[in-house]
Amino acid sequence: MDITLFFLIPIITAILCLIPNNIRWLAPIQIAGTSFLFLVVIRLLNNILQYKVIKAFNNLIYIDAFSGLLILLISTVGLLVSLYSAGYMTKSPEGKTVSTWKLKRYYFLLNIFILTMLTVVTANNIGLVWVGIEITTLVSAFLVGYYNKQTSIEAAWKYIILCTVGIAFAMIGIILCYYGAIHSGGIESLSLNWDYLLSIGNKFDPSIMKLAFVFILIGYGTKAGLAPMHSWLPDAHSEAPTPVSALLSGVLLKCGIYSIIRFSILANESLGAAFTNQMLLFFGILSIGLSVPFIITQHQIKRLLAYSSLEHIGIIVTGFGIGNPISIFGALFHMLNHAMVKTLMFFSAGNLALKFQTKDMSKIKCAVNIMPFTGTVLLIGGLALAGSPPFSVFLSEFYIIKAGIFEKHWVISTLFLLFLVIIFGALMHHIMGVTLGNNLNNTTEEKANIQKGEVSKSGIVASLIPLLIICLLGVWMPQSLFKLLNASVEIITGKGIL
Amino acid sequence: MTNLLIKELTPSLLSYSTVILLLMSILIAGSNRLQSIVKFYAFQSLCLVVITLIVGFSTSNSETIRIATITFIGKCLIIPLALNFVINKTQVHKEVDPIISPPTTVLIVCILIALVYGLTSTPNFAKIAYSLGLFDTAISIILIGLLIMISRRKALTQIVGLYVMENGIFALTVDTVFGMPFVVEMGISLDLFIGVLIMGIWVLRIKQSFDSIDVSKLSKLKG
Repeated sequence: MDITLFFLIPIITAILCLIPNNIRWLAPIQIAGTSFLFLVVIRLLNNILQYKVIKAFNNLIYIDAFSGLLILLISTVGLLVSLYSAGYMTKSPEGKTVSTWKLKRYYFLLNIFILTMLTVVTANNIGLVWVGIEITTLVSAFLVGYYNKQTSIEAAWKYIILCTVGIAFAMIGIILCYYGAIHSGGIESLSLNWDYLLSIGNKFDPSIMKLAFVFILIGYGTKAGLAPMHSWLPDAHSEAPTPVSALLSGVLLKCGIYSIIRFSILANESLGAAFTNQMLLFFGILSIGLSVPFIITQHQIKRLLAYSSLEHIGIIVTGFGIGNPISIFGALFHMLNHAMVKTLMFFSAGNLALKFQTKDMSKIKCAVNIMPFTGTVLLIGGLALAGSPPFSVFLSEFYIIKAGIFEKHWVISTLFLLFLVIIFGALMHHIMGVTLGNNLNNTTEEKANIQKGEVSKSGIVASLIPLLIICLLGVWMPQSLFKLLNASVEIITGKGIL
Repeated sequence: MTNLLIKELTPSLLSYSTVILLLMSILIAGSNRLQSIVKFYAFQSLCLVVITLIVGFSTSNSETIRIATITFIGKCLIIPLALNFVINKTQVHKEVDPIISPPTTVLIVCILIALVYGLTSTPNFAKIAYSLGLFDTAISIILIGLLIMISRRKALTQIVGLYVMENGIFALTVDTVFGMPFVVEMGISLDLFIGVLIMGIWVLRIKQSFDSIDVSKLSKLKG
């Protein structure tokens, strides 16, 4: 019942959003729909903690704590994005009027996008996970190219082509895995089901699994935005409407990581953890390292945040790669933290871009005076994003580095710390310039054009919630969240941190 | 009598189809005209359908036959029709000035095929599959698809390259595992059909705002 509801809500909301002729009705419908979804998810999470595994629909759906964490992320960010869209999407960045039909289509696609992501993290069949990931690309390409400018069409085309080619490689990995399953005596009709594969996982031919994992890592890694397959990421993130950027960065990238980690659990059964961990570490550190020069030299605020997503994806993957329960706990926790803090940052950056009518950071100055709330939130969020205490991002990064040193990964830990320190400086330089910097070149005329005040009330609420969450998680973690994370660690490593 | 005939005919039909499969991808790589590229693609897909049918009948697996039917409807009818619609709508019929010229592409393709056939005969790969003798063809087709994608400038040719690559992956599936479970195969086909429609829409949008479907003009976003 719960699970049917869980898939029905986005579909119903999507259809309802197509009905009204008045723009005013769209946002309330969307917010009501996603809040309802959020409540259902909370109930579902309760059930997960109680029963560990939930199966439904003739074994097509398999939900455990790890998928539960992703479901929590998707529904939370979905709710925040709906709140923010209410104020943001009615204003176009060029000051033109927004057509009702376009807005209706936006909400429709947003719901379908959320639905496909939910499918990805709950499907049992690894073939269907692939199908789900491919559909997320197709749906979100429309959202990326929403403004129909030359640049957004370019971003959408790059996104769709690169991700489709990448995912085609993942398909080869799945075929190899299926081949391995059949040749180790698996039943054909079950041999793509994750729970069944796991039960016969140790009988697989290791050399085939090795090849399959490499294909999967490259394929889903493209979707997750791992370097060097990340080139679609900054374009798509910077050209998409801000709420969509938040969804892309906050959850879509994590769905890619989710699929990789699910497969690595399977591969570890026959390969042992050493091979997969090495691969993950390599791509993780490469992603962090490659983001450094781009963050330092960035001019555009949304691209800056996109490259910072690349960095954080690297941190998460490195956390998984270290392979210690503590670091995996840190990586999972970091998924949550990054989703929250990046949503917050994109919302503030979107407000600024709307107010100043530009994404160029050299033209956005002294935001704290002009938009007191957004400016302050951006400054605090920037500190959190760079990883300073007492925010929860610091904690999760600390877990990862602690485990790295504990496992004697000296080179990895050193590089990790070095890159993080450089990024801290670069990010703070940019954010300080935007929020506190004085605009000396500005003539009085230009200043008069920009009125003081916030863009929308819903934007304030939408960025206040994640801010509260990262502040709170930095000092105190609810017992149920800890249980959820710990159960996910158990699924990945076989043992919890306690 | 008929049984014997089928037994005699099947292997030769299979090897003919395999050869045509490979030949079509070489023709796609060496062709300039978008309409003929789409025709070659449809014909290549038809060969795949024939191979799948043979596999389905010889293993008497009804799922494989259903998969072949869906593949026929999708790859031989829907996808070529959609691509032709886009060609007529954009009025771009020729791949002018590709990054690598067609003759050179064909030369590279031949070298690629030789390399793949040479490499896959090593014992490491021989372990994976030789059930139908399609394995090296499939790998070659995947690589040719990739080569088409990177050597052409027109958005439409890139889509065809992508689908040639997908055909290669389909051939790999048929060869190694005789086709995926039905649910998955359905999902993949659905993806492909939606995919061609959506990518077609994007090609039209590119044409609308750039006044050409040349993807090398999409170069504003940097850094």
